Amino acid sequence: MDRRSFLKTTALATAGLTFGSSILFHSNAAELVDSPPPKKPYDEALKEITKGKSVSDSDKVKLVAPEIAENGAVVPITVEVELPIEQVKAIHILADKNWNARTMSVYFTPANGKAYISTRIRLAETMNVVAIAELADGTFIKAQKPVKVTIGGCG
Amino acid sequence: MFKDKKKNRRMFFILVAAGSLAVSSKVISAEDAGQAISEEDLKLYKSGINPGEVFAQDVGGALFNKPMGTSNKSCSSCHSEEKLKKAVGTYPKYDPKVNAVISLQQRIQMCQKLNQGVDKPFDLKSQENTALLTYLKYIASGEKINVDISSNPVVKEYYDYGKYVFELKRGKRNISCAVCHEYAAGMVLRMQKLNPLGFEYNGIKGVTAAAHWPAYRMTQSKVVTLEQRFQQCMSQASMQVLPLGSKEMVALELYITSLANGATIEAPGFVR
Amino acid sequence: MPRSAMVKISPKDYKKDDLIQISTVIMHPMDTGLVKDKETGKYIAANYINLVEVFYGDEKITTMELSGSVSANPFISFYIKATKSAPLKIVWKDNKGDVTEKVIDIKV
Repeated sequence: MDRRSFLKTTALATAGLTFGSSILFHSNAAELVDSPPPKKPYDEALKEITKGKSVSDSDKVKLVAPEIAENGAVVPITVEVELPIEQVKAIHILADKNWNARTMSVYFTPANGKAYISTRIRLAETMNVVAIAELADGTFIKAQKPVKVTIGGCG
Repeated sequence: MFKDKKKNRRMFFILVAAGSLAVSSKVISAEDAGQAISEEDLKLYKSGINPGEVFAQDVGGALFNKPMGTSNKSCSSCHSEEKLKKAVGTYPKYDPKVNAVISLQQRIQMCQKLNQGVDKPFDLKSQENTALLTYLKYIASGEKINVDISSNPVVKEYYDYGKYVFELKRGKRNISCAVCHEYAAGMVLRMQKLNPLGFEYNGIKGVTAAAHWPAYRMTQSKVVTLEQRFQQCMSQASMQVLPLGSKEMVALELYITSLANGATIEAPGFVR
Repeated sequence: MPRSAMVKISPKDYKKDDLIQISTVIMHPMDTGLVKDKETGKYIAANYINLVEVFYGDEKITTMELSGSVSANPFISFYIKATKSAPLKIVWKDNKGDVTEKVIDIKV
């Protein structure tokens, strides 16, 4: 078979093979709705977590985030609280300009050994990432970092 | 050079100074050119699991082991992974059956049609073909890129054509791939440093791109092939996008892959 | 329908009572519910993992609440103290009720 007709044949081939969907992709027809989910701005998110209690800055909360994020879809965030695990109840990660300012809340037990969480979050624009540690004694401490989000590079 | 050692040493320093001046006038560091993402920040992206690896193993691996076509055979029933992984780094490669250079993606299609008896092989833009490609590059991680660019006239033609496509200025901005990836390499474009696509260009360290593609693109939350990346680059550069699997694209893929000859495959990559 | 997921332990050569890092990825689009479908102008419904639970043996040791603000194909890494030989089970649940589980044996 010469190259032209071979390539023509393969070019005509469509992804027509059907497969058991257990191997492949779940999303096919996306469900469409009329309205977006309710907004949860930073103040509301903060209140939800602290119930109005004060939050003080603390260098015991170590927040690692890039100064400039390569893209807004994937921003690596690591939070570690330098206190014995028995003293840390939870870590809450907030993004203060996102539609939903709450990103992740992690509730620990002593079995974790270390109050540590590493993940990747979405940031809609340049904003502050706030890591709030909820302590076993009911108090809250935090650290925050501004993260620049650019359109970035070429596409 | 001179018999007098002192003169030699002085000449040496003058030449070095002149050389570095010449080089520094052409090369601008990212920090000087404008604020760019720092090396420390880029390191943060290196830790953690690449979702592309899950895609390679679970989706690609499953397809590799799935019986297909009239033969009801899977890729694994004919191919030992030990042998296959040595072959991956040689693509794009000359195939005498079609008297042309073909990409690994096209080789997968050929195998499906001719050996498995699949009536309609997975399309080049399909996630299935991408998954199989990703699986093959994934198991070949650790092997070296090793494409032939000179052993016969067809291969030579494709190499020259690929280099031509890389250097051809076209589109609304009248730029070529070489404008960003060679001429302006080292400069900053929208907070990202522009990189050469091989080992280095003009003293600026390159990224040996072909060794870590296909890659999981964070901005698209999926694994993208090298040819698809070319299309996305072309679109961003306001050039007409070339079709996947066309002679131009395969030639370009051969050329870009040859720039990484000797580099160790580490796929799938994790990129913006 | 369960989704593709991967769990890795580091370091591989751990001993009893060591702190070991558990890294996970699950393939999930994490649709926020904010993205519009180009043709109809309607919103693509929120479809994201909202709960992750970690069980060590019979005990639930960690609970995580996620929102759509977590990146697609979520990567989550945390620590456990390898106190006993028992299965470590991670359960991901999304807002549609889909559940995925992955079990990895901790051996000390």
